[in-house]
Amino acid sequence: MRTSASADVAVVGAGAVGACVAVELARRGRRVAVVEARGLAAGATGASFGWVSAQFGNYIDSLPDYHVELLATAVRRYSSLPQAAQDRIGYRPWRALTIGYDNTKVAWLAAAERRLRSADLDAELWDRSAVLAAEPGLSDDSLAALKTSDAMVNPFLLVRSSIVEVAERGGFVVRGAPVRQIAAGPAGIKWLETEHTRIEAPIIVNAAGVGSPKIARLLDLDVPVQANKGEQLIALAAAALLGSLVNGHGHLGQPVPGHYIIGATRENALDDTVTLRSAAALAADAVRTVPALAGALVLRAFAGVRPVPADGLPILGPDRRQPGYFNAVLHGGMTLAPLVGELIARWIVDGTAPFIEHYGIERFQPGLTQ
Amino acid sequence: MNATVDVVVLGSGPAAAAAGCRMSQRGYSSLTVSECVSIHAASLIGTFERGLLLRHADGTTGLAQARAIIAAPRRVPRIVPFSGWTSSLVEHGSLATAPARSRMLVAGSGPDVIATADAASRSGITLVGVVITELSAEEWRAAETLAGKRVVARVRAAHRRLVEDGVPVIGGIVTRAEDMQASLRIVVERDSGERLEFHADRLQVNHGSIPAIPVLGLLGLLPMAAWEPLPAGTAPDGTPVVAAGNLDLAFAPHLDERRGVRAADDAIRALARPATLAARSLPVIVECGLSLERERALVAKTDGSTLVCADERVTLDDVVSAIRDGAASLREIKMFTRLGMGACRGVPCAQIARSILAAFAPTRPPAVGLRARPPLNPVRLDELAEYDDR
Repeated sequence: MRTSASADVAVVGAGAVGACVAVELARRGRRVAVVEARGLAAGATGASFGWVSAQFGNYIDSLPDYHVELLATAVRRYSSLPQAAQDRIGYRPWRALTIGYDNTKVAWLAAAERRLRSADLDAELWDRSAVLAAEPGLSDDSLAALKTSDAMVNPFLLVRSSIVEVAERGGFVVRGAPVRQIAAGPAGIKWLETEHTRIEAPIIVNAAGVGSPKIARLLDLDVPVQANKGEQLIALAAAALLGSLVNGHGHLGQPVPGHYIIGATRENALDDTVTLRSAAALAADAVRTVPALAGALVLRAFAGVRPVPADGLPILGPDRRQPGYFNAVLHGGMTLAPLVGELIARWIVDGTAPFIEHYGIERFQPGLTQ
Repeated sequence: MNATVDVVVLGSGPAAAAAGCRMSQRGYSSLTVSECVSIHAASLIGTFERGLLLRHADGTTGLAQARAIIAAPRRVPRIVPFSGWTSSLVEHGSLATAPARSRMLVAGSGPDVIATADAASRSGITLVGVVITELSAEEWRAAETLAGKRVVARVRAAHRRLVEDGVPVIGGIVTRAEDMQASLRIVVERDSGERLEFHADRLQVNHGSIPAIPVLGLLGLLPMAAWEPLPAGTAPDGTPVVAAGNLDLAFAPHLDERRGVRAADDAIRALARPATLAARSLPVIVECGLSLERERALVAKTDGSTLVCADERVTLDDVVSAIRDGAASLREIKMFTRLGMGACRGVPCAQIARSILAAFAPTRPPAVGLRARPPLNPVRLDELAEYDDR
């Protein structure tokens, strides 16, 4: 038995990116179908640290200017949301300290500070005494830290509030079965279907995260995305031990009072199993970073799989090979998803949007010219 | 797996677990097939591990998952619903954080009680009483078969020691517990029907024992009246079916367990009856499950401010609102509300959330429980850090 439905746009994937693309389209009057193979936030979003930051990942020095600007725009977009909108997604300021344990790293932090400031983001280099005064639980070999005014967002609430608004605006979610076929022609997309449902829609947005290559393949297209597994721990300890998000040996923070999230490993793998070896390594890093956490009780270990594009940067916008088909594939969705959602929606509705030109899939296709 | 068993028990709740245990106690082989492992099933396995083979519907052995669930850590609220791993709790010092000279009532009669009582005396906590299952001589012998003579001897010795220490050891069940601000008022109903009242600061309940408390009764969920046996029948292939039915975990687990025991006894009678001997190659099926209508009715009766997950302060209304917002699985309820994300690790609340989901879902929701997350026992960060696999 198959049901059918129609929509203006079908968004594939109900993670942070898919949900944000969907809600921004719905706000622009489009009837949206969100098609999700598993459950809401079942992929990378469900295992996210919830860290909103322009500098996470320790590689800001290698980023092109337009991407630093994109990150800065995304960060400012969050902070300028009305209070009620922030509350709905669990947005709160979260001071981040990226620790330098040796002079090489401290020099890197100083460079990162300049880069962030040039993008009008708050960043300060703190010396050892300032760091330890702010966070006495940190190990005393912390030489210096880059302090940034970052934020946290609750990944689940981000998806929840978006999906609710999509429904309020006439959209709907179809989940529980993967997209198995897409019909398309030179004029655009005709329909896509799962085992149970066919959805007629002239436009598809591929926001399927690690599953996005599979979706692209249904149209004989590709998306160069690597699955990268990250294991994390949740540990229980006194809330007073740490106020900041600390990016030291691994990173850790306390998004919920008393609950410390410790992450994350990096390994090219598609499975989301956890290993004792990784859990032990995470624990060791956490104790090295914050010795005061030694007695914290590890409640659970879990893993998520990051969708990391081949060059690390988002893959956004149309694919010229198939009218009606758009990519919205990226890692770092907690920071970027709301902004990317808006940009994709503007592109679809208005035919233009800032930033998108930098992130096209064409950059992986030397044979094609823009 | 290809096993010949006398009885197949369907279900994952207290009735199913109790029925499976009863079969084993009576010397029948049984296979309990569960959608997911409930705390009751899990804790009963903890007590009667040898007698119960519990299989997960997806083909993985439920035992490992059951152990993971049992081993979940607890914070130290005044009401500690599951005592199974009290000793590890004490090792981690959390019981020691109980206020000095506090009074505690323990319900449960297995080896866990020993650990609890020992821990309490070491921590300067006064035991105002221990509520146990009174077992007949025959049942004690069955327990020896299942748990081993040494374990049973330890349990019985511990019971004697408690009595010698002046701790009242009462055969019965906790039927009511009310938070009176200054203390908990706890009513124990003896097997004779006599009611006793206790006042304590903490209530430590071992759900795995038959005198388990309807813990949610503490929180206002106690519609225990709706209890009636479901009809038995015959499956299309002639397999006798004995239905236990249940009220579901949230509402009256000890009644469910009694029902499970009763259903098991019915099954045993069915097995023994000459008429069914011809069909002896077919197992008797004991079906333990609540009708959707019943679940809906129970949830509808319940006050919305009732805490479903005490650890994360998630109310019934929170869960209902998550479902209305599109949560269609336990995992999504967990994500939307934080239910089960605390120290409870979903042990007390996932089953309850499942009932609520069932009550609101147009059809019974898929039988997917919360995924069990390692470690089996909560472990200190520095101890985990020392692990070396070389």
